[in-house]
Amino acid sequence: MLATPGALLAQTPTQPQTALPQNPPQGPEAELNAAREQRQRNAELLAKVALPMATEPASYFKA
Amino acid sequence: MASIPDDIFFASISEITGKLREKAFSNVELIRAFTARMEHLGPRYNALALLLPQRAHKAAKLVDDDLKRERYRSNLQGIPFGAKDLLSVAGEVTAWGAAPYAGQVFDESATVIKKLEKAAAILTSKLAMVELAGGPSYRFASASATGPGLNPWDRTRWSGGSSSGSGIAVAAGLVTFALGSETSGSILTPSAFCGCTGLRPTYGLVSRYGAMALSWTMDKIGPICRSTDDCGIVLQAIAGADPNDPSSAGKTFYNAPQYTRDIQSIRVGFAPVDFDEWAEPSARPDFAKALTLIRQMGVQVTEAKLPDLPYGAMTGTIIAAEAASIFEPLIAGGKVEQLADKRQIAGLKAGLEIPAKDYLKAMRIRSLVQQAFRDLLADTDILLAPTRLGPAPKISEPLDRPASDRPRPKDPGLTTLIPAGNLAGLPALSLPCGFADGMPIGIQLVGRPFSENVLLKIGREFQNRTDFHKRRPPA
Repeated sequence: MLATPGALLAQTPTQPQTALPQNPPQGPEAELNAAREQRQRNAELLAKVALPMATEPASYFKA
Repeated sequence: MASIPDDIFFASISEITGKLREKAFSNVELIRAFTARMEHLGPRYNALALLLPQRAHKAAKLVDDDLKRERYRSNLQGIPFGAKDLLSVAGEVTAWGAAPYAGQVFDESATVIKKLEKAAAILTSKLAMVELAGGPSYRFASASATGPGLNPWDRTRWSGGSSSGSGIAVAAGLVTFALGSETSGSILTPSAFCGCTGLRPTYGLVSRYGAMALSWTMDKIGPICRSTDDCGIVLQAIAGADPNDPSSAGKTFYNAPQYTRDIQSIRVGFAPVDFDEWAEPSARPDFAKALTLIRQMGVQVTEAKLPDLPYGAMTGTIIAAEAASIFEPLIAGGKVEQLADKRQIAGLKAGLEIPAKDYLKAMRIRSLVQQAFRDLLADTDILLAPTRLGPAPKISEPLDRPASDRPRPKDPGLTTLIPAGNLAGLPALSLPCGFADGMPIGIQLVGRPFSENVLLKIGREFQNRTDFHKRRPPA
């Protein structure tokens, strides 16, 4: 199972399609920066999807 | 006292029910044997979070009283099961696989536990899991307060997660069935890696009340068993409306695959590239045989393709944002540092920084995913793909790095089916279908919402024609 590029996948990590640094980040600060970079990559991928303005989120509140 | 033959530890729900009713052994004897086996072997595989021998013994005595009077309560009466340690059991520790929650006790059992105990199934143990169900992500199999789940087929390999203990316990005959959970892969993966049959129900079919939430909009509770028949029995017992769960779909499930559509009318979509190029070379022969067998069942097989959407980025954003909100006190209070996996700690912290616009964008694209599946599944009933592309990795391997240097095909096939199917809330069934490098592999079937009986129908026919689900790990 492979994720789209740069994705973090909860519960069962995937093998990414794009090349990633072979060595894991060293130290908590580096890990946090790596997680932030991943978050940013995810945001950039989401930004590329053109959405009709009328598209609503897939969850609803009911009174 | 009757001794319990070894075969019983690997028997089906129906087989054990038959033996109990014909009084081959008492329920107390059965449960004593299973709890002893779990006590002895569970720690060997890091499968066990908490043994519940007194609770199990007490419940077994009640079952024996009923059986003596031929009071048959359900087809799960007296059947030993384990529950992933994110499901609360009243008065017992529920630690969520995570050091910060060691000693945590709830005063009410999860709805699914209550339902199974009402059916007189016997809870023998809480089963190990990846800490906090692996959210938002983790790097190593050791991301657990109980250590890495060790695969019963080869203890140098991972069991899969996050329902690691559930997959191990069923594969090793420590329980007859187990409850796991899936946000994105956590029932299917340990099922495939351990050679079990796992069923991820439609989102909302099974109550999440009393289960640790990782992602409110993506979590599902489901069975890991030794066969599709057993998955159907367990799902019927745990499914149903629950006013305590705001995400409950309000639907029941009646286990009746024999009354669903004729197999010949079922249309199965798959992507050849998954089997020919994405699958690891050692797994390709048995994946190919599984595909041939599916064709021989008489279903209509066509090619299928998922739309090109950023499924991984969506699941990454949604799960990280929801998990960070759920565990905000853990993060803000600093106890997040007690978790075992450094990547997980960092991911939770970074999750708190996800802007609302990104979360909402992911949730809006999710509506497109749902529509895309409605369109795809209008002409196809089931999507078929390898559950995982190869066998379980070695314990020491980082889980977020490519396992090989093989060139990656351009066509993604259905390799994103796990995140995509979970985003759309679709049900899935993982079936053991062979071996690679001596380790089990599995195929997954994904269907429309609430089409579990169609999945079970195909699964049952597949298991009538194969025996992979009956194989046992080395003693």
